[in-house]
Amino acid sequence: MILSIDFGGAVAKVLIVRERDFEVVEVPLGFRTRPRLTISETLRYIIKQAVGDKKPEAIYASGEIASVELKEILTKPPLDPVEALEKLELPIVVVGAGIICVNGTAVRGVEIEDYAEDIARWLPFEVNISEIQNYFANKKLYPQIIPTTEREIRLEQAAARVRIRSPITNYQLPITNDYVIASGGVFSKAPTASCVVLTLLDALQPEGLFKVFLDRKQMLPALAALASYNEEEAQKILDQDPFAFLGAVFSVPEGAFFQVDLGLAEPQELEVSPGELVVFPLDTGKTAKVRFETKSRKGEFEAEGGPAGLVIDARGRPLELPRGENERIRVLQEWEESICFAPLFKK
Amino acid sequence: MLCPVIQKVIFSKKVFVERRLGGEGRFFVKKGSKVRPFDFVAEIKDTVRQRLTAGVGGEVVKLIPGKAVLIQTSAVIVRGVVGAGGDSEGEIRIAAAYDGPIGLDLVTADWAGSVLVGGHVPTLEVFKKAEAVGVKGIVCGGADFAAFKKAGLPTLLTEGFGRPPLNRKVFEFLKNVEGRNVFLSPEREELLVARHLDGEEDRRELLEAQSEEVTEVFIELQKGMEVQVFTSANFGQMGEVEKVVGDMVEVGLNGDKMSVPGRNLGIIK
Repeated sequence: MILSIDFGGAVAKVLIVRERDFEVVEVPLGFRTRPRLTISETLRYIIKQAVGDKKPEAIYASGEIASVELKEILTKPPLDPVEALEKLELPIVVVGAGIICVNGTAVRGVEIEDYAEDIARWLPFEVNISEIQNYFANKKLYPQIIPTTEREIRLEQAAARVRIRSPITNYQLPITNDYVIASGGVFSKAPTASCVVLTLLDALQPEGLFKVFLDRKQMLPALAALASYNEEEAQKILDQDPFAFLGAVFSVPEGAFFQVDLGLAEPQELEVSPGELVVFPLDTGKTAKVRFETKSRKGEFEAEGGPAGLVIDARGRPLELPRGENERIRVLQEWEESICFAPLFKK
Repeated sequence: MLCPVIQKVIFSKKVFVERRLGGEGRFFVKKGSKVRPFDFVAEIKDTVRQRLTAGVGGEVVKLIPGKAVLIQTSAVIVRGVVGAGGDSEGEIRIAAAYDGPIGLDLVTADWAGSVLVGGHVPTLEVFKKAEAVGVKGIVCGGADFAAFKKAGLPTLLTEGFGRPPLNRKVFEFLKNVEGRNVFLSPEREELLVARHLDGEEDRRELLEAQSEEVTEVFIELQKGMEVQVFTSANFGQMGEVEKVVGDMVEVGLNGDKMSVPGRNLGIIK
């Protein structure tokens, strides 16, 4: 048994690799209040919670940890999660709030309390800036707490858009690949697959065909640490397709006419106007040939079905939110209603 | 279910208080001297005759020429979660209820030299006025993040940002020691209330208010335990565990029952 521990966030993720299978165990790490554990005590606590008194053959870890005492616990020195993720060489990986990895370049997310006004613009309701600042500042003090209301979940998702978008804009990271693996609590604990897709679409703003995968177990950082020290075992896990396919997105800069051929008698037709966000309910396990025609070009692609369906995004790039408060809220609500088969939150 | 332990009020038998001279001076005490709070321990040179009191009752353990007198004492430490500003000291004064605002109208020149206690600080103006009238510091449950960041006044938040009430145990303790000289160390996120007499009464007063320092960081959540809730609507409030159902916990809070994820609870010790 090998353990690879992601020590980076509020909840440690322990990837337990056995001869025949693997699993991920979450260990909440408590609050910033006192009493609190030292780094080596925390590591011992995580291991105990994950595997009890069993003795693993090897223990690896990534996180902002450095302590000479860790030598007694870890098989290899702890890794910087940013460097570990970069080594994984996956095209686009979004690791929740803490780290964003785009095409092999990993960067740390921004201090979110400083971006409260940007977050407010992604919320489909009026909000006081101090509510946003207080909420995220409290999350730093009590990292393991989880959102319990629709309002809090929306705050988290709006913040995820800003956290992902800011480094992409600041470092001019190009979104050139055709898929994304979303990892992190804000995605794995989102109410629906559509929530994840909409958040990523708004944040990454991809062009053309783009597939969305979800790291439901939030194992990517731990997998990255494993890959750094034991590539073979990491590859075995990757070979098992550990990421869930949520759906495909096709982004066009203008209005377009679509023919979706599901292999039935007649292809289904769909017209998408400029500025619209439309979802075609393409179920999991189904594949469709999609032909499209805009004013300037024609083309076709094959799309796989997933729980979020096939999303057509004709909102243009870069995505602009209306300046007026009422209009902005109306547009955000409209986008959300367009993309979801069912309401994201029960009323 | 394991939950993090929160301990806010602790009695410590061995606490060191540093009385800083801030320059050359002469000492009135020797290593081993027993001192009381209003005993002079040093005189600072080249200033308008400025004498430094011990501030606490205890024993002088070290004299650092030109720098400080180190006094060993026993004290109750109030732990906060975040602090701002530099070290400060003053008389502790209750300015508002444990769940009430330290409003602008409550801050007057009468509080000069005091460390104020209350539920929360509602605006930046309160911090500014308090500083202007000579308040030495504020200890409260919460304050708005933006106001707190801009506040120049030494401040200790015991619960977090927004308007959470001040922990009742902390409040009751501070009420009992109102008028005493206290030491505020925002950087260490602590308020120190030291013994000021040798007498047994004083020792008992402090001992009654404290709990023994716990070393466990996580303990198993059980029915009847006192917990602090960290969900938005009830952020910082205290309740009692009624039932644990899977990852959720039923908590009795202000006469009502509410279901809270176990991850959003801290066990009060």
